[in-house]
Amino acid sequence: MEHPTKILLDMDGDGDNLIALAYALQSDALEVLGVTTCHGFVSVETASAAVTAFLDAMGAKVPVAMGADRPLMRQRMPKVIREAPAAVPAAIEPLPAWDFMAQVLEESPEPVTVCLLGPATNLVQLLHRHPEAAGKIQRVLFAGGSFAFGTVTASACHKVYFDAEAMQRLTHAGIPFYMASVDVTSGFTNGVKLEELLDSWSGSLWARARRLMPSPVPATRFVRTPFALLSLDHPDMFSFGRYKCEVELHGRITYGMTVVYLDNFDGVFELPDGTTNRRDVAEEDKNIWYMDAFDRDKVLAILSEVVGGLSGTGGAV
Amino acid sequence: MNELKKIPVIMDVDTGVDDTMALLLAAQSPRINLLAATSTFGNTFTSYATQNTLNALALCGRTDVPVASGTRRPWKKKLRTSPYIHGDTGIGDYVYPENHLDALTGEYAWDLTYRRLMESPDPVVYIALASLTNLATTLRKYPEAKSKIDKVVFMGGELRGNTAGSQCASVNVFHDPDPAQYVLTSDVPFHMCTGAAVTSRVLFSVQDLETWFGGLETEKDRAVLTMLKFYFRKCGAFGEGERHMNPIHDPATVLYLLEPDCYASVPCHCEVELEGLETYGYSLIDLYNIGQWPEEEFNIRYVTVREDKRAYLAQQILKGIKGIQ
Repeated sequence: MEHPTKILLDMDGDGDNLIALAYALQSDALEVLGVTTCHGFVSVETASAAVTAFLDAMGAKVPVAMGADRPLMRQRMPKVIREAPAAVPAAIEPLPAWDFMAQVLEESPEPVTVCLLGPATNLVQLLHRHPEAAGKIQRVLFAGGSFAFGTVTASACHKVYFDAEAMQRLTHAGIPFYMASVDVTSGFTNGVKLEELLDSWSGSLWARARRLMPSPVPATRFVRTPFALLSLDHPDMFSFGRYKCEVELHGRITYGMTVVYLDNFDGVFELPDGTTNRRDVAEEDKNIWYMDAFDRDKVLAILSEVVGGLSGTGGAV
Repeated sequence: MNELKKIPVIMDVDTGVDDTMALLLAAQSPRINLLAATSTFGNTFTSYATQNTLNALALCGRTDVPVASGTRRPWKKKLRTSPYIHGDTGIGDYVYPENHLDALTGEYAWDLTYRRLMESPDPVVYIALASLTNLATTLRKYPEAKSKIDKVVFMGGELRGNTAGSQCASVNVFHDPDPAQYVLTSDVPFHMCTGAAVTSRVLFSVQDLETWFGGLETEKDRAVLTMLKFYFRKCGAFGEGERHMNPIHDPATVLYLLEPDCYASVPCHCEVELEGLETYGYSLIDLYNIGQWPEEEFNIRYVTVREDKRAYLAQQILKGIKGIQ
């Protein structure tokens, strides 16, 4: 393809992130300018080690920069996996993730799409420290968020839960924000025998990715995110609608839930004659693009064909 | 049907349009022994709800059912009603020819509930079709009442998204979330009939109404037809229902007792969010047990309607309201 979409990947080193990375690297329509890492289920050091090891196995040369080791405004959440952080790999960029992102954005002649596959901490740091560079972000594609069924709590997706304050800022920062929420993407594999499907992927890349995880993770964790990435090079298979979205920051049991105003209902107001009517969400209050439909069979076929056929060239994994 | 086999039931209602239908259904059913009806705020104010309850029972000749007026406002939050669905008086543009007051006991709802619970030899099914304020007050005032409640069947709660409450709160929880959380944590067997899984899946067309009640043979027919037409008009304006079909929420909950085979239910954990800015009043139903609750923490049964029984249930509801057995 003549003009591949330039992307930056910001990830927490989870299994699905690695599959997404593999997908992005092989796609002709996508050009990976760099990878930044973030805290998540595992520490940022472990995430960085996993990403560099995986890139090694793929035989790919992509700069990796290490980012935030904890959320913006709090210590790491209690649901994280407490492991001894891995040693920082030697091949890591000297700059912190946000400075690295700013550099890449400034050097790029075209706007860049940021694929956010982990918490939003790095991106919010970028917004604060390099607002002019952030202006060159074409859009943020976020693979996460939840409005009914969470991943780490009953209501929250871990990518939001691990830094909900940052996510709230990012969704209101004025950058075009595309969300492929867990509600939509988790239904994707219903009725599919996922373990069997993944085992049939000849390259066994996902098994490699799985070995990089500090603890066993379910197969569903490996396919959600790469699926979202497909919307970049196969936009015709997805549809996004414009909605208002707020991240719950004060809830006792719903902290980190992304409340999407799917009905565009914004309360009830009273008319002059005393009757009441519903108020619609104002257009200017709609701050995100929410993935509301997709072509499931095509997506699964492409993912299986592409990622399933990939195999690593070597490396230590 | 043998008198002994009747299910003893107490109904807590905020009598708007759909509560009227639920009352008609329960009061005319030969398999339900309606011990009492108590009123609360919600669809309309408690005073209207009480009068509407009395009138609805009188409409089908059941002035023998004792009625008591319950709480007038929520425990903590501001009172909110839904005149934009149920009209200013709760029953749309219908006006009863006369008001019946004889069945009003003069007790508070929780006192009547407790008395009737204790008088009943068998455990009683408590059908809650409004916010859970009256039930929570009963349990707070009379902790021993719990042992006489067979189960609570609640119309409300939502996995997400309900236009009448907030973004994620269902109206019957949102109107008063604190007592809902109180009941959910009080170990009473609790069956939750949500809008999305139960009541919105049993649908009616205006044509159905005309067929069943268009004859206007009795005052009851006239009342039902007038109220439901108003209700459908209002619900339609709010985008509910599939195409031209509309749900009549509350009777689908009563039918859960009469036609248990048409429903399925799974145990799971549920709590109400009381602190969220966006999610206040959201009943968080952990259907897939992501929170890894132990089985003894499964405090509700999440009820769903069987797909192939939807049309049958709609017919049963129309029959029940009409009073044909």
